[in-house]
Amino acid sequence: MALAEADLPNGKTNGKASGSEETPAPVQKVDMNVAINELRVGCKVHVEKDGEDRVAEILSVQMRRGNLEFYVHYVEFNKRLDERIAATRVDLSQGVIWPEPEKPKKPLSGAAKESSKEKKKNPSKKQKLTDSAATTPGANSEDVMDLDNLQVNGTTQDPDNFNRDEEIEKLRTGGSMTQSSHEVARVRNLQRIVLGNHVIEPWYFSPYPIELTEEDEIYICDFTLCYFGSKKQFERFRSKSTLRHPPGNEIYRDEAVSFFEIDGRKQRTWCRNLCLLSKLFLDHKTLYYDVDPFLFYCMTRRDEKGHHLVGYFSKEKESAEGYNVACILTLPQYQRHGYGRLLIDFSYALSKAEGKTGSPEKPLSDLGLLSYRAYWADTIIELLMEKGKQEMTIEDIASVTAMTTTDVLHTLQTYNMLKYYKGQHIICLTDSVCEKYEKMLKKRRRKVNSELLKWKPPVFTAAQLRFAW
Amino acid sequence: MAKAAKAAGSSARFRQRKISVKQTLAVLKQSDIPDLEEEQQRELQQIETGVEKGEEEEHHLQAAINSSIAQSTGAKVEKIYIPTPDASQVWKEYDRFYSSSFHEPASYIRTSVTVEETSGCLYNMDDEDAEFLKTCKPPISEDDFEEVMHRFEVTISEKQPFVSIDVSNLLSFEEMAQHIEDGIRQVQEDPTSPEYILAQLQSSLGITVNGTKGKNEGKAFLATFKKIGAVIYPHWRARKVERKGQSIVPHLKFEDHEKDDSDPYVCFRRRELRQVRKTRRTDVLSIERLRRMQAEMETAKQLVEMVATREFTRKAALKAEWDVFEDRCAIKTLKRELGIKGEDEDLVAQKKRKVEPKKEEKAEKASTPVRGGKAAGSAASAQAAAAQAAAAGSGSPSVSSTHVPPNVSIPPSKIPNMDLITIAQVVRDKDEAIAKAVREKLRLRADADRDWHNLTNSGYIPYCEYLNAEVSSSGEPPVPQYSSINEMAYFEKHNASHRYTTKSDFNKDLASMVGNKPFADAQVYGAIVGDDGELRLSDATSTSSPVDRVIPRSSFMSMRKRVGRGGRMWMDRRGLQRNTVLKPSSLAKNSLDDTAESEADEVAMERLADRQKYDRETEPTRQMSSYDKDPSQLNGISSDTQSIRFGSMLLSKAYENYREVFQQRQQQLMMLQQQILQQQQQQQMRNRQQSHPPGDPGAGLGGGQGAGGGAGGSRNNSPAPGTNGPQSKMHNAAPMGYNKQGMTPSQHQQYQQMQQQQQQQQQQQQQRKMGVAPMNAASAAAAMAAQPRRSSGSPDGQRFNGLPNGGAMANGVLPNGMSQRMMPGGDMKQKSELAKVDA
Repeated sequence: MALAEADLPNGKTNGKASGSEETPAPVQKVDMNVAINELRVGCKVHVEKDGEDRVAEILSVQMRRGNLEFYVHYVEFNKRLDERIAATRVDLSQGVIWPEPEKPKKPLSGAAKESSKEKKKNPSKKQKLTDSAATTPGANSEDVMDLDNLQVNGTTQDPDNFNRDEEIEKLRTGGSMTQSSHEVARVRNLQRIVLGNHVIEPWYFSPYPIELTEEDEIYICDFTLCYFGSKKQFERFRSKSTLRHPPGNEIYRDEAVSFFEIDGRKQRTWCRNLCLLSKLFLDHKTLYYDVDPFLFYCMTRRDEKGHHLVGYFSKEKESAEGYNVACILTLPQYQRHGYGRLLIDFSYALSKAEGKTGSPEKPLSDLGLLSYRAYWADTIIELLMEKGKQEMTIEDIASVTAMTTTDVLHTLQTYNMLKYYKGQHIICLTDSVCEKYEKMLKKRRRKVNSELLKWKPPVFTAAQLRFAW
Repeated sequence: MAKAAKAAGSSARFRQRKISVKQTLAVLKQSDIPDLEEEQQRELQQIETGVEKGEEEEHHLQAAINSSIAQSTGAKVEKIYIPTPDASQVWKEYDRFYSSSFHEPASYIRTSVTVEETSGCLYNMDDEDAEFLKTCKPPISEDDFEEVMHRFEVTISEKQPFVSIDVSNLLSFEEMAQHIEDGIRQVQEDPTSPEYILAQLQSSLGITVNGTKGKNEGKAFLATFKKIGAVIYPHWRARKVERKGQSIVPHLKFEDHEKDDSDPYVCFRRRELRQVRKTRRTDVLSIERLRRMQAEMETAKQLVEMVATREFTRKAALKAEWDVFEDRCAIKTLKRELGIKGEDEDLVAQKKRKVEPKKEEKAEKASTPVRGGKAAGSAASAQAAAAQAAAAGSGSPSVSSTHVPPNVSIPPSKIPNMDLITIAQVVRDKDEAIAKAVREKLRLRADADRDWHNLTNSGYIPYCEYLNAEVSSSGEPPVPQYSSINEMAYFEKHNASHRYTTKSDFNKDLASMVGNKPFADAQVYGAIVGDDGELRLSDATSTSSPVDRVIPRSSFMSMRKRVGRGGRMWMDRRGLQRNTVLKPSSLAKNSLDDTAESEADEVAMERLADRQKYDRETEPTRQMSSYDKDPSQLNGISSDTQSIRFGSMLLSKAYENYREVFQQRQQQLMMLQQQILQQQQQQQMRNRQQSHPPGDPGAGLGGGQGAGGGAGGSRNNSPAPGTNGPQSKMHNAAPMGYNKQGMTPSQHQQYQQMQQQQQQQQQQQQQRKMGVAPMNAASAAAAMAAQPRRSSGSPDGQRFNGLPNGGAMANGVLPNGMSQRMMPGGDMKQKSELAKVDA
């Protein structure tokens, strides 16, 4: 951790100065004489975080029990680390950066500094994009890829040129469940949730009924995922409810976990509850539209009380872009236990059963990216090491693993395995890769046993895929 | 990033930038390739991650990425996790809320129950409600309270969906109670409501579905509601007003009527219809499919209705029958009591209607064995015969109208009381009517055609009138050539109806035409040759006799060559009849020239008979039935073939005719010259005649055979080539063997003399009449033939074999009292050729 911070000092005050050097145009006006009660939404202040001094943007100002509180977003930290702080943690001695004057009426818009930076970058980036489009016509053909410019779907959009109408139109026709974070409330609205026997701090905003946001903690039923602001209500509900597992068909069961397939159209309440819950932990998920066009694959752990939800991924019934996952989440209480990898493995197992290659819908979250990269790398390395093959095509790897060829190339490049040797490209099993494989063998990770999968790719008629009433 | 791109560009000249996913890549371990040049490798560059740009630069993510990159390059770095908010706390009250009652089924779980179905009453009381309940007297159970609250909420959302606009309009308890009661009653009485069905199922199957309300529950609830509804209502109303008309339990914000995209709490909007590209064709198809389905449903509905109607009718019929029976019973007792004695007919169930169908059925039964293949002899009885006829007439398993399909039983009272006709009968009647009509048509046709002859078989040959005019004007009896041409000539003369060429002919023959009898029975061949050796046909009076008419037909003779023992060749002929005309007298005349003194003994007769066994080539008894009865039929040849045949014949003959006339003229000129020469020669010859050898080289024939007529014919240069054919065939037909037998050299000489005379006569005739008609030539030939002569085959005779029937006729019409004979094997080759022609 220490090393990483030393490498990347951008988040700190010093780093920020260097950042402004890079982009000299917006002159950051640092006002040294500001009183604490003059601070308003959009202001950037120095805040003490875990013993460090970080720049934070004020997202909301509240009076609680007579104390002034700020809800702040730490610059260059993920939003899930946004928090409510007491006024005492704000260090006014280092000055205050006022929001951009041209955007004073948009307190919830992107951070001033960030956006200006983006604007500076934009022209060059666009230039590059158009250049590559012009010079690499091969990118259009399916099996030839430019190693210098591997495009990943869903990431080419410029956040500043984000057009609201376009975005909604895309949601409407594309069936995507992700949405730009710029369009949702940036302030986390729930303090704590009680889910099963876990008390969890939510990460992001979720459109639970606004009445519930007033509660300190809300109770979410472990089986039905119904939410209650009052413990009495929850108690009454629990006394009546008989559901002990996700309301769908179990399609996989091994000694540790089960998978349930749930149709969003048939289990609207449950799936909506699931989406509300997962929105608490997924920034880019949108609940703008209903759950009908999705299937939900839910991973559960069994005990004597029933099937407890561990994680899930949703999948479009018909994906125009060939995505095999729309949203994927391991509930925070189960994270870092290998369940995410199991979920990913299961999503590829389904793709294998379908005889397709697939890729997760973009954008990925930071955690998602790391999980997927780790899974991809392990899968490919295992394939290459175990089979002991002398030669392979990218397509071979893709068809065996159900990964897209782009993801395969992407991974090979990330792990520096694609080399140029004697005038030809080769896949090089570097020493570090071999080392990694040795480690993997020791770990004995959980995997999906495809023999336990009792599943046929569901087939939907055109009428079933229409999303109107 | 820009740097990286630049670096990649600088190394681009060393390495391929693009890679095909189909390109085979060698998989090598780094340890195996120590010579890998690191400089040529790509500079580690930013790879697109799929993470949003803003987030990609986040501190923790970068740290994690860099750590993993560092790992991949071999550096020892600690694994970095992205920090997340706390989730490690455990809720202590967990066990109080979740009971341990779950048992894992052995098989995979399959379920489709929804959250609502498993959650019991959807209203969950909160602390405020609990407070209220505590104050209630008498105490109300939580379940009842929730039930009532839920009912209030449901009812208000149904009846006052927009109550949130003005909460003061909230329904009063009385109104509310009324609505609730109505609602419950309605649900209970509506047989289509799921509650009703569920209640029915539950009562009939004895099962209860958790958390659902059956019929009884509805009633029970109504009772509870009456008890506690009024108590709870004020509380509910207060809470509702507090919530400003919104539902008491907070719910998700769904899309309002005005679209508010900016409210982040609005979620789960209805997705608009995905715009499906529609083509009219699919529309039409689906509409068509729907229509068909609707029609099918309609049909099914009608069927069901009809079945229902039928069953009702049947029930009524049974009822009526039952009534009748009961009435009869009553009458019976009445009769007994009152001592009425009479006929009991009215007491017996009359089954008259059933009788007839039964009979029919019997008939059907009788017909089945006959149809089953039994001998017709068994069908002796009239009934059986009728049945058989019926069966035969129908040709298929006869289904009479009285037959009832096995699965539909019509009560006997419903069978109509009428005479029923079998289908077989109907079919038979129809067939007979058709046959009768056809017969009648044929008869009428025959009547109309009675005076007409179909001569298409022997071909009508139009020829120039001037040829014919001479004959008719000369009054000389025409010499029949027995070719079709002659036939025509004959008919032209005697039956003007066949001739259309000139007016003069028509006028001239009008009278005879009127007097003419139709020759309907001109089939007799044998009559051609009279016993006296004269041609009957030449007699003008004989034309009135239809029997004498000769209409030569094709000889229905066929031949076969076969090789017998010792390599002998045999010619078999079929279609010959014994020569009944053969007479000993004529035989004697014919064959006994050399042995005149011997008597006709039996052996000789036998031998003769044997020899003449096959002499007749034609069948005298062969009936030209098709000819006189139906002119439209000829030799069984189809009319199409006939018309083609006839047409081609007409053409060829017309051409031939024309050519012949032309040639004749030339020949006549030449002959005139020759004649002069001949006369001079003849005078010279007469002087030396006594010393002349019999085989005259001028004859151009085998000397031993004594070519007489043939030689004459050829020497004569065949006066009329058109008529030469039949004549020469006649020669052909004459067997050579007879020459030796029947002629002495002296006779031969005489014959030659006579021939010469004949020629002279002929030439004179020809001189006299410049227009030489075929008749003329024929007459000359006939005149020659009238003399007893033996002719040998003439080589040029074969030239005209192509004339139809010519060869066959030749024999029959030889105007010789002695019938010409053919010797089997005598002239094999020529005969076989004849046969070919006939075929």
